[in-house]
This record gives sequence, C-alpha cells and structure tokens, in this order.
Amino acid sequence: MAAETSAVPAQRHEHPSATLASRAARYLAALFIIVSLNFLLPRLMPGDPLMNLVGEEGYYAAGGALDELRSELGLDEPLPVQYGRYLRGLLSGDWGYSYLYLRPVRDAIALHLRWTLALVLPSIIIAALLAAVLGGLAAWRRGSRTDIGLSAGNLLVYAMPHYWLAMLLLFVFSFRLGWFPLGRATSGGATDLPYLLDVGWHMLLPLVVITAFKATYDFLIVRNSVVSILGEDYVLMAQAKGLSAASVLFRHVLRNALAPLVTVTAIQFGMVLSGALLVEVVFSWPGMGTLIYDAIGARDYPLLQAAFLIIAVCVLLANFIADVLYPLLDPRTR
Amino acid sequence: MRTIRQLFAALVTAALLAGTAGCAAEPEPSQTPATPTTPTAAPGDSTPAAKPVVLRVGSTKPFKTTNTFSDYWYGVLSNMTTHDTLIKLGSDMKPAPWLATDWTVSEDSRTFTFTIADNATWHDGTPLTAENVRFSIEYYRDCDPEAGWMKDVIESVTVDGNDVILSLTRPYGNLLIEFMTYPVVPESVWSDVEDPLTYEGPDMVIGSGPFVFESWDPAAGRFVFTANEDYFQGKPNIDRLEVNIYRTMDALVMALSRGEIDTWWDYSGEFPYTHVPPLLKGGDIEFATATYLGVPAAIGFNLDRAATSELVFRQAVASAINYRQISELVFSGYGSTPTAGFVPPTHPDFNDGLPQLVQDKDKAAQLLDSLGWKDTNGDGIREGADRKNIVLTLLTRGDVPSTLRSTEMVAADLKAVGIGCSLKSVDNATWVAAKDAMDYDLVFFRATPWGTLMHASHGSGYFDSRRSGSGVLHNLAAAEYLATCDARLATADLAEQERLDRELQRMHAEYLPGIALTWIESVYPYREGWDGWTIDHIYGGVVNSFSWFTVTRN
Repeated sequence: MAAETSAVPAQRHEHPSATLASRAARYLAALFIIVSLNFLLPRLMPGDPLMNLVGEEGYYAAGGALDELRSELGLDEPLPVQYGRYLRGLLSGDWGYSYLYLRPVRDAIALHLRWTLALVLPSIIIAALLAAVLGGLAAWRRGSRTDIGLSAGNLLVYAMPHYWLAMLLLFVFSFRLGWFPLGRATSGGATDLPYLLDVGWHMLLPLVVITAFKATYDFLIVRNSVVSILGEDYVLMAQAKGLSAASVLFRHVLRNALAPLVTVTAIQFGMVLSGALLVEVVFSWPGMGTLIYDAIGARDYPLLQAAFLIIAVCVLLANFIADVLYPLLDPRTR
Repeated sequence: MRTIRQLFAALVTAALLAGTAGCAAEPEPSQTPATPTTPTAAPGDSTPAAKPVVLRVGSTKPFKTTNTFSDYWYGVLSNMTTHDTLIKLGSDMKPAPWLATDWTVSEDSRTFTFTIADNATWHDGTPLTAENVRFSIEYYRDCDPEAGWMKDVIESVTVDGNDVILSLTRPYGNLLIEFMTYPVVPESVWSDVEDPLTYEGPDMVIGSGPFVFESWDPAAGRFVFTANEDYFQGKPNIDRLEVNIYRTMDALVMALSRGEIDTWWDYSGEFPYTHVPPLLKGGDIEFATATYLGVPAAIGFNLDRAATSELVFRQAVASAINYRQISELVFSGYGSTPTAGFVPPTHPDFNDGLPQLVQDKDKAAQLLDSLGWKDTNGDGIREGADRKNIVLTLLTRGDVPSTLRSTEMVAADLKAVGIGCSLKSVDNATWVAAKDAMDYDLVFFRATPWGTLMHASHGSGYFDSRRSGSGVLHNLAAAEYLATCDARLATADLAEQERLDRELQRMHAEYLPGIALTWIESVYPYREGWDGWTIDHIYGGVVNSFSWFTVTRN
C-alpha cells in the first residue's frame, strides 16, 4: 500500500492535510473491508465452536443445553444480525466473549499480545538495522568476497523455513549445549531486574529466528537499492570531495536507499506477525501465535475476529506510518 | 536531514520500549494458594528437614484457566490433584471407593446410596460433608451444561447422616462410571456462582484432593501443587508437584532427556513411539507399559450409503486390511491385531470368544465378487451395481499423524482388492462437521479410554444410532443392538452387566459398524530413580491419583 501510494511522484500540489485526510479515508475503507472479512471467514469454516466450550465428551452429553448455550451466545441468530451486533460491539469497545478462554476477548488478547509485541517489534528494528548495514556493505563491495559471503549466507538462511530454523536452534543451543531454556517466556518466580534478564534469556532464540527471517529478506532489498544508487552523480561527487568510504556509504548512499526498506517493513509487518506464529509454537512462547493457533482449532469466532483485526490494524498502521515517512525520506515524492 | 535522524531514533526507541513493555508487565493472573503446605522443619526440631520430594511432570495440553468446570484439560488434571470424585476406576477396571467409602444400589437400579468418608476436609480446613456432596450433584445438574444428562436421570438427592441418596427417574446402570468424572466442589465457593463456566475467583481452585493448588504461571507454563498434609487418605508421597507445559512434543522429550522433567502426562494420548529408542539409548529413562484402554486407530462405516451399507462389503474391507503392518509401521511394533469386538482385553467382561481379525485378500476378493462388483474395464477398480467405479470417500484427521498414516495404509490395502479411495484429510472441527453430515463412506477416528466406557460401555457410545455429538459415529440402528444397549443401561446387576457386555461385543462383530485397526501397548516414560508407579487406564498412565500414594524416589 505504501509503495502504491508513494512510489509515483505527486502530480498535483494538494494541501498536505488534504492528502493525509484522503489517505486516512482509504485506510478506513480498507479497515471496514477487513472487519467484514474477519467476521465472515471464520464462519465459513466447518465446525462448531460449542464443542470446545463444553468439551468433546461433554458435547454429546449436553443435549438440549447446547441449544440454550447457542442462543445465549447469539450463535443461532441469522448472520446479518450477528454482523450488526459485532459492528456495534466493536464501536462500543466490546469485542465479545472468547469461547475458548471463557473470558472477554480483550482480556484473552491482552495476556498474549504483549508477548508477541515483545518479540516482534525488537525483531523488526534489529532486522532493519542489520539489513541496512550488511546490505549497504555488500553493495558497496559488490563482487568482493564480502559481498559473495554475505549474499550467499543470506540466501541460505532465507531459504530455510523459519520453524525449521527454530527447531534447529532449539535443538543445538537449548538441548545439546544447554545454553538456553527449552522454550516458554520465563522461569517463573523472579521479579524486577532478574525477571527482565530471565525473559531476555528466554527470548533470545525466538528473537534470533524472527530477526533472521526478516533481515535476510531486507538485506536483498537494501543491497539492490544501494547498488542502483552507487552510480549516481552525487555519489561520485561525494567521493571526489575526498569523503571516507564510510561517510559516503552511511551519510549519502544509505540515506537514499532507506525508502524501499521502510516500504518493505510496512508491507512485511503482517508476514512477520504470522511468521512468529510457528516460531512461538516451537518455543512455547505465550504470544498471539499460540492464541490464534488454538482459536482456529476451537472455531472461537470472537477471538479470531479480534486477533486478525489487531494484526490488520497493525499492518495498516505500519503502512500509514510508511506513507507519512516516505516523503520525509525522499523529498522527490512530496 | 536532522528531522529524519530524529524520526528514526524515535522509532527505534519506541519499538524497543514497546517490545520490552511486554516483559516488564505485571505478572499474569495466577491464583493465590488456598493453604500453603510446603513442608518445613518443626520449631525446635534439631534434625534437618528431609529434602522435599518433587515430581516434575511435562505435558503438551493447552491449559487456559484453572476453572475445573470450564477448562477441559484442567478439569482432568484437577481430578487427579486438587479435587476428589466419589469413586474411581480401580486397576481391576471396577469402581473403587474414594470419597464414597461404600455404596449400595437398589434392585431396580433406581436408588443409589453413597456413604461419604467422615474424615475428609476441604483445603480451607472445613469438613467435607454429605451435604456438600448433595450440593455438588445438584450444582452439576442445574448449572453445568456438560452434565445435562443429570436433569433427565436424577430425580432427587437427599442426605441421611453420612449417606447421600440419589433417586433416579429411570434405572441407570452406568451411574457409577459417570460419577468418576464429576469432582465434589465446595458449596462455600460455588453456591453463589450462577455460571460456573465464567467464574474466575481465586477460590475456584479449592478442593479436597491430595494436592493443594499453589500457582499457575502461564508465561512460565507451570502449575505448582503442594501435598495436602491433612488428606483423608493420608499425605501423598510427593511433597511438591510441578506440571510443566510445552507446546510441542519435541520440546517435551528434550526436557525429559535433559532431566528438566521426570515424566510425561496426557489424557487419552499415546507417547510417540518414535521417541522411545533415543530415550532408551540415553539410559536414564525407563518405561512402564500397559494395554491402552481405548482404540488408537479405527474406521467406521456410513451405513446409509450404497456400498458400505452392505454387510458383505464391510466384511470384505475387514479382510483387506493389513493389521500387522499398521501395528508395526504406525505404532512401531507396540500394536497388536484386534478382534471384531472393537474394545481391547483391558475392558471388563471382555469377550474372548471372538475371532481375531486377519488380512485375507483372497477372501476379500471373493466377498466382493459375490456382490457382483468386478473390475470389467481393467482399470484396477471394481464397478458397483450402477456400473461406476467404487471410490470410497475416506474422512480422516490430518492433524493426528497416526490417524493419517493409518488412513493411507488402509487406502492402499483397499486399492489392492480393487476399491478406489478418495482421502479427505481435515482438522478436528471440520472432521466433526463432515462426520455429523455423514459426508463420508469410511471415517477414521480414535476412541478414547473414557469414550469406550461411555453410554452402555464397550464402545457402544460411538455406534448407537440414537446418540449424537462430536466424537461419535451414531451409525448402527439394528434393533437388537439398541435393545441390548438399553438393557445394559438399565441394570446395575453385575452378572447381568457381564452378560450384556459380552453380547454387545458379539453384536459389534456381527454387524461391523466399525473396525479397530490396532490395539496398543502404551508406553509411559519416567526418569530412573522413581519406583512404584501405579497405572491408571483412564487418567493417562503413571501420573494419576493412585501413584501419589505408591510412587517413591530412591
């Protein structure tokens, strides 16, 4: 979305606030479509959410009580009525009740979202920084052993399924070497600084996997972007002025090569979140991945709706931020 | 350009702060202990306190909350730890006394009288009385959707001293078995709770069981229970019980191998046999074995469809299957070939007069020929009466590896005798929907230990056509089978029950509504140094209510 709206230079000079409002309107329209799809898609899947609510063996024993329960949860109402109730609930901040967690959806998500953000946000930032530095370096020394080594290494990691990489790291560093725990987020019992250190110890391996997953993709984007810029006159000018290589690369070249990285980061935000799903399962990390994984199995409509909505909003927000940042990074697109 | 630098720095800082916010957040909800009972040396006691016996159990079950009513898996766990049932299933597969020290059943099987132990107490120290038991039964009947059957069956509950008397609306011979899964809950906690499924009060973990709930930390994935020093059957041999949760079996096995846990627990699941050789090679893991009470791989027939409604066709399918191969390859040699009676010999009143199933391709071909279904066009698939190829829809669970592999092997066996197959591999919820819509010819499923005991027992709960629900096939409507189920449900007379149990197995073999593909020896790993485990067929191997009082650590 960011690439679509920003890659083409503006043809008319609109007032900045009007442009922003127009973009916001488009994002709102996208949000409405997403909200509607979020409602519809889980209901298209076969299966009965009540089975999870009363348990497999309780399901057959419940008899008529199931109908009462279905009515109580509004699952026997026509879809348009359920949709209307869902929209009203969203607007009033009521996201419904989770059949799986048997608590308000907001509470269930609050327990898990922070763990996913704790994992994903640092991963995205570290991956972007790594990609910028290593991608820039590889491009600057294109054709050299550094470039070949970095590019080959990136392609190797990029080609690995990230859950497989997660299993590999778990096996080597946790099981064989015993340097890290076999998953989960804490050892329990600690508070304050020891607690944070303990969480960091548990977080490191999943963080490495998600960072690697994102950084290897970004690396190629940055490398190609830098290579395309290196032939520009202003780069030659900077070199002619006698600036050091590092200064030319980091102050002049990378600055102009960052715009595609911002776009890709925004577009990839959803992919990183979904990629974290399987990594979370491998590392028994109590984040949104395990929540969504369980909610799909249980056909927990309200929880699925809310989880996907949060992810969609995060992606839209990331794209919106990219839209706002892009003109700052590249004045030609203002 | 300064603006860009500032923006970039702000973005990095914000993201890292947001990232660490999750870590720095308040500890997640966990209930406070009802009565801490960690063993300590008595004041003035000069001898050093004995080292507490800690048992660390690993599990992959997806626990959500510590409400025994609403969380299926915690309900199973709490039945072994913090809560008690009136009776339990003994090692001889007969009802054994627990909170009810004795019981009597009237001749017409409509009045059950339970005598409650007079020395049981709740974890808050108050006595557990017969009145509390009455409250529990009425509470389940009135408030728990899962116990909806009680509304039809239990007419009244009265108390006479230590006796709780149940009057039923009709004879119900399976009542004792049913009551093995409903723990007695304290009136002081639940009497004001209208909807037990949504209750989240910290006192919901209070029970009367051998362990007192201490904590549940979702981020650490760990339950901690401590021994109930005042337990009416005596203090358990374990001082502290930890249940550690892993999302994958691979992580759990690594933890077992590394000594982070002592054993494994699952209800109705099998320990993956592929993990047995490496654990044995390590040398510090031992295995207990027992014949599994359920059926880990089975097929059911859609008796409403042309081909599978033919008994001769079902017999042909039974003759086409290579049972030994399934036992060897899918269950790593821990399986054995079943009989046509469906349930394994661990069941009480097992009918040992039924013939063992055996692969006989020639017989299968002859049976199919006798129906006139032959391959006339030479494409390797027989044609039915309508001259079309016989291609069966095989509905199976793609999320259960052993079920999927069994399906593929049966499909190959059927193809070898000229029956085409179309695999429909789906997740559990979709499987249930397709099964209930009868959208299959053959359905692959697994029968849990408890599932084989439900209804009129011996697997009848899966096949009686009058039943409904997620795990059952409800495909057999033969009048004599239904009448036998009714008769079995209506009697509590042990001799009559035995006769009817054997009849149900015989009829199953005769009508073949489903076929067990294997019976297995379950393996239960534990670290060396632990002895005296008791195996509980229902609650999942060595981790169970009986082991707390028999297991010792060297």
